[in-house]
Amino acid sequence: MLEAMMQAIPLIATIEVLIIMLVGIPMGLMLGAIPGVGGMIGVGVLLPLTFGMSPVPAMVLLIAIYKGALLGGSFSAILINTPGEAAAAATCFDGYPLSKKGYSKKALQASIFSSAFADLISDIVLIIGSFALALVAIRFGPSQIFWIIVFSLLMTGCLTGPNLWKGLLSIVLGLFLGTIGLDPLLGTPRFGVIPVLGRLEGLELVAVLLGAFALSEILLNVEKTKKGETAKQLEVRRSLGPSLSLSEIRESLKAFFIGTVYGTITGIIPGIGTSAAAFLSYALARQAYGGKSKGVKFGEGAIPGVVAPEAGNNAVSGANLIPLLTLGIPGSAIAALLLGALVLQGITPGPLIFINHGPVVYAIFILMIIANILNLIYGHLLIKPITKLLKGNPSIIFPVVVLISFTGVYSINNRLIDLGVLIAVGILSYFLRKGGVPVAPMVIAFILTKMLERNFRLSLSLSGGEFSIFTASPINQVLIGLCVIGLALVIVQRFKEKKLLG
Amino acid sequence: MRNHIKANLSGFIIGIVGTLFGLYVYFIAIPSTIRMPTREVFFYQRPDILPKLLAVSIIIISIIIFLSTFSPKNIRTDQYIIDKHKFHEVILPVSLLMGSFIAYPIVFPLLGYRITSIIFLACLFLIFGYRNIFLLFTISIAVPIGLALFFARFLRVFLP
Amino acid sequence: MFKRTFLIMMIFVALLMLGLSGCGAPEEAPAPPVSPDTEPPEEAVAPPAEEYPRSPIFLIVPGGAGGGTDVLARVVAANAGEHFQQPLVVRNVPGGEFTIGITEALQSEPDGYTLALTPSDPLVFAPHTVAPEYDLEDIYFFDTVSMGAAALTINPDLGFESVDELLAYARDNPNELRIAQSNLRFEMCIELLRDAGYEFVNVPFPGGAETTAAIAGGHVDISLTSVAAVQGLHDAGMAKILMTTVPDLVNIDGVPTIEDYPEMNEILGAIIDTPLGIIGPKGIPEERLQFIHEALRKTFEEDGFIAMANRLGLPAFHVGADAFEQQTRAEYEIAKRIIEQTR
Repeated sequence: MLEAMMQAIPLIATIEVLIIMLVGIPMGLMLGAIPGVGGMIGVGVLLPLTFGMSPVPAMVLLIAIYKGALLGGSFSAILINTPGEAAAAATCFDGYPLSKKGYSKKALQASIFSSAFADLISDIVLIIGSFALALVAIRFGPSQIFWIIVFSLLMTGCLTGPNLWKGLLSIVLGLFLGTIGLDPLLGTPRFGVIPVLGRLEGLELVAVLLGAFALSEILLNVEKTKKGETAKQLEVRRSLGPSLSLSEIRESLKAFFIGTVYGTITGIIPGIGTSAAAFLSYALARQAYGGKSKGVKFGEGAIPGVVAPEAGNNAVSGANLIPLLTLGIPGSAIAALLLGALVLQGITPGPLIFINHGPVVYAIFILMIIANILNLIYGHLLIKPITKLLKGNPSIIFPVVVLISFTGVYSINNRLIDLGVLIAVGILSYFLRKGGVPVAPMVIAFILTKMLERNFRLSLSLSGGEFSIFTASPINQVLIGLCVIGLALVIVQRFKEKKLLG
Repeated sequence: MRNHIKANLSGFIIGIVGTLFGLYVYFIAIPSTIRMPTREVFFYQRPDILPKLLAVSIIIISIIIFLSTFSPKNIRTDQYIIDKHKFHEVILPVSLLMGSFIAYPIVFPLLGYRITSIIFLACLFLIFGYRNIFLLFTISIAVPIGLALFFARFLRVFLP
Repeated sequence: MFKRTFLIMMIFVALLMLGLSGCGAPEEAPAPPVSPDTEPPEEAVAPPAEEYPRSPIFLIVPGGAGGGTDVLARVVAANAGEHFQQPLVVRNVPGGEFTIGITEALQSEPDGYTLALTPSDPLVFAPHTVAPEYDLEDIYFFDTVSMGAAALTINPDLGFESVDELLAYARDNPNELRIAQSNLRFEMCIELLRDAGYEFVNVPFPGGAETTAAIAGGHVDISLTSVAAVQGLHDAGMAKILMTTVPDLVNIDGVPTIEDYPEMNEILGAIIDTPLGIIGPKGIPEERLQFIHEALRKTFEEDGFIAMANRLGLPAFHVGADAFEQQTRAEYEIAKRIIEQTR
């Protein structure tokens, strides 16, 4: 390993690689910050550019965009409640309230620090334990993934808000939205009220997220902006606020740890996804902190509430490369593009990759770590200008954001139906929020439905209809234990909060 | 009684709308849009199991929400949903905004991206109460054209 | 105050009217694609024939970014720009088992500015399953780009050394071996095997990645995937490829091809390979068709294209327009027969 690393150094220390890093990261940050436009589209556009490059610069360009975009998405999530990337949606919960209170700087710093360091840890895990971890990961078949999803769904129970039944309604609605589209097993259309709707492989995630968070927020805000605001309010909203204090960092360490661990695990197991990791890290952290940190409730601007999802979604990115490189299994759509780029460079991923292409792989690893550090630096440089930009006159910013979101959502799949989904979900969420129904559980349930249903039915297909497959293996038993503990914790938490309310 | 319903109006409405929606899904949407396989299949292969289960859950939960609005212990979580004094400040702009959202994808295929977006943006500025007419038109023309250029040049996404 | 509200109302009503009148007039032609430099869409309608590629040409890929077809399309586009004298722009329109993108391509203006690169799956299977708004008569076939080879892979713990052993076991123990696959084409193959007396349990995974993970993790016994998806695992001994298809293009050392198993070839030979080809709507003017054919031919001769397609595991393979169309029709009939039988 050390030898391969030494051989990797000449591959890294070139001017080409340096320039690509310095340009790629801010490009990714920018793409990530634009709602609806993400790393995916950037990597797709730049892929043909890499055809003429040698393997290391080619991969570095794509990875820099990918990592930059993951961080960039949280800027717009924090400042205007508009997740720039699907993965950043959970950051809205506490990031936006913080910025509304005038603590934009704190929120952004929390997000940048936790993103960069979680990513770093995840990369180190990738470098040290990749092959062994990949072997563990493939032990997770449909029945095991089913239990992970169940656990995740139970955890959303603690986000249901003060009225339990309205929270449950939100979860069920989310599950329902997730069943629209082709049946995950048979491929028959479902709910084709408009024929094309039934033929989708599911509603577009980015459209649902932007609808539920950004569009509904803008609808709620049109009332407030009409009234105008006093000069003092304006000043609070636009101010950067103080930096993070040491005690706040110490307070957030637990959330950081939870997010990193959960994100890394999610990344290694193919197919669960970045957004799920972020939401679940948030839910777990909320549970671990007992609903509030330093006297601030989660959802009203608690700093660990920003740290956990950001650590969660960025920890996925390094870990995602584990099954990709060692088994040739891409864990996400963007990993599939990276796989394509790698294969076109003549590098076939698989268990033998370290033997056949050791230096190149280690060069990529080292550059991934450097990319994280650059992410940290660029992120900090951007705090001030981007806050100034996005916190301008809301009656200009909001319309422009709406238009950009519409354009971005359309550009993902070049389909008008996604725009329809965005608007429908936005209006639905507005009414739900008006009626006191939280939308976060709906969104999480939506993300999980397809996986839940598919893995449940796949497991039964594997066992020929025997339910024993869900309890058979030791991994399953451990996961069931976790589910029971999780459920118990959620219930205890509910009782505590109820007492708190009076 | 009337006052009680008024204070819990959101629960009342959600209960009724939710129940109706669940009934619609179970009895109309599922039979008319989900085609069952003609061959004999195992229960876990049926495409309508989860949707039916969810429709029933929606109905049950909605009924509970509806009933709980009559309970004195019910916790209020909603914001005001209807207040007739606020017509000009709330209902009018919100419904105009929703109207423009809905109109956008309908007009889009007819006029193309640029013209639709310019009109749309101008409408939004007016709804949000932006007053400077000159700036309003400059921005609403510049932004869509800039966006179209950006997407075409850098992202290779050509907007119709 | 009132004035402004009135103004908003007026604009809103005007917008709505436009929308409604549009609903009543669906025959209005969609604007052709326009490059950002040329002016608004209206002016670009019907460019003079002699200067045909005036703006970028769209290559619709009916799947999402990152899939095999998508990467192949990007390779084609990167090599074709020079011969088309305009950039080829890949446009992903995923959804509906590839039908949404195909629908868009076939319903576009037949002016030669919109083509599609697609596996034949949405042309031959989807018409029987999800009822899309097109059929084979609407399609102009240009040429195949490549032929996707399939790999029949087993979990090495099973201990079978050849396809014959596997089939013999399956005949004696129906519905015992579980076979993972992730698309309709392979599901058809499983049905064809069932008709021939070899009954496997069909386990439909959502994508190639999950299928590969399932075979590597030992959750299933057999998998049907593209060769590229399992080659790395095979080389390391974590999975065992028993058979590959398309012997002219793909060969792995020590792995027999479908031609070594006449029975298998007879059952599956007609349908197991995935032709990937370029199609367009019918009605493109003759001289433009000639131009596209010529440009594609030159593109396919480029060394860069051939080398990259090889690395992707989708080697260049061109049968010509007629053979492509005939093969698609043949597959269509087979699919029709099986699907009517089973669904």
